Amino acid sequence: MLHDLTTAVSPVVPAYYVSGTHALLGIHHVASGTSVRELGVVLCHPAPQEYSQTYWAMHKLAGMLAASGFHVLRFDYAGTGDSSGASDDVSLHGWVGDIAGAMQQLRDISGVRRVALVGIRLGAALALRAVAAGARARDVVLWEPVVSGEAYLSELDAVEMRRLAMLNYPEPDERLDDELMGYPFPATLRAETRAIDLTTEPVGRISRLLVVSTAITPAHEALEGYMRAAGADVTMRAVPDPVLYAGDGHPSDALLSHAIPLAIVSFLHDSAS
Amino acid sequence: MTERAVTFGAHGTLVGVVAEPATPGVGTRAVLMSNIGMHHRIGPFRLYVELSRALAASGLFALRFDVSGMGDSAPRRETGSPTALAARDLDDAMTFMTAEYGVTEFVLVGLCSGVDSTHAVAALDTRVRGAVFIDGYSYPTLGYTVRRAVLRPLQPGRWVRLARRLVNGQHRRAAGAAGAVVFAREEPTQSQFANDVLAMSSRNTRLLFLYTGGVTYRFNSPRQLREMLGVSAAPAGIECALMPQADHVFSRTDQRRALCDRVTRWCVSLPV
Repeated sequence: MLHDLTTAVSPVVPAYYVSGTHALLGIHHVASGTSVRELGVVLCHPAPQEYSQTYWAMHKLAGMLAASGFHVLRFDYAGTGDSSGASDDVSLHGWVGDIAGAMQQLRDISGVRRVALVGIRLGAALALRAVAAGARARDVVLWEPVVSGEAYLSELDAVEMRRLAMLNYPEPDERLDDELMGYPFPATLRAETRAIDLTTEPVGRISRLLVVSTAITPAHEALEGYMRAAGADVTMRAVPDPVLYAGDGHPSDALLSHAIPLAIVSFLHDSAS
Repeated sequence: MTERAVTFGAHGTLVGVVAEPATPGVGTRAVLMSNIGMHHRIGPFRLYVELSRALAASGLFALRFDVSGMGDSAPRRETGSPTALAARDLDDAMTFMTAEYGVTEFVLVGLCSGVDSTHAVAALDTRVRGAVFIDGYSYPTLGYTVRRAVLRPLQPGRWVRLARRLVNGQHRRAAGAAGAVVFAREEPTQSQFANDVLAMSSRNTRLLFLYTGGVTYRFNSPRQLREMLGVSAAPAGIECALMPQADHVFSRTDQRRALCDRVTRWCVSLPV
């Protein structure tokens, strides 16, 4: 009964765990409901630039999944959120490794045998890379995925200019080269991000893939074709819902999603059945 | 310095992170900070993570946490105004830190809407030995009006921004859809504010008021605090400063660092 999940509140257990050289904060949404499933879910946050805006939506999705019987782990990549590390000492390569660590952490604390990945925006690209690097997730959900790093950076740059234009300080032309939307963004991270092209990168073993977005774009369709060619069972869903940047990218905006989380729960419900 | 995730409160549903100093110093004091607007406990751009770590590196405990119904903390079962509920959460946080770490003195940090509960609790709770108000309450004074009239036209950035907006068709963000109040704050009247601040000063609660360049439209000089309080000299234990190069949410790394340095030095300097 998915419509009952929207007001569900499941217990959360926050805890630090070791991943590589870092202590990462994980938030375990403990499975509740009538039947606890053997499929757990790791949620992959976006990059810091979109982290706060999507925090509420990811928290809500986690609660809905937990109320539907899934153990869920949200976590902060190294150098982001509450996890250890400085904001200017981060890399996409490291974050991909953090996803594999989070999957193992969820298995350890919940006993689930299988883990699905749900990634939003840049987190979607990182989830695919984690599977390509060997992480065992047969079910993957890409929510408004970043397909091209070049296009993603152009979008963020545009949002940044709109954000700066709304501020009293700094002046709009005082933009700093090594910062983006309030976070350090060193040249190495920019280069790593620009290199993302999910339609040419190696693909791991994925059985079921959901691409869900408020609108299916040509980039999403290109990704669909590429993933089908790689053998994945791909579902494309355009779901009307609020979009990020509805308020011009103001740092206090929140993505108030409702329909897309329901669609994700429904997809994973089928995977677990 | 180590960090530890904690849950506390009557039902164990408040979520936070304690930055523990390697070697506790400065008596047994902790600095508490909670949500700013829609941001969860890390604050905008990890501001409260950086501040917590700076405080812990200086020997202080620091707890950043989500008030009930925000971030990862569950809503409270009882009802009340947002400020009253957040004040109860702060009370729970202090009780927890005393039970867990033996801390008996507290410094509260509030930014923007976070000032509401910070002010409410600091005004009444004797466990609070200091409070930091960042872009907190302001009230127009005669001095403010004169300075605004004289200084505002002399700011070149103002004309540059205005020209850009006219050329690009960019407008200031609307306060909200007409008729749709989604967020309301309860601010004290100026006389209530003055009475509270002077009472805190008289019982030796130290106060630091910081105002950024993002709020110069309503607070334009450190003198304005004295004018708001109706006093000719700053009362003992009260400091006020402008950070004109910082925006309201400290979106630049250098300004976050400057804020962390300033607040940490001030917290460490409080008398034991």
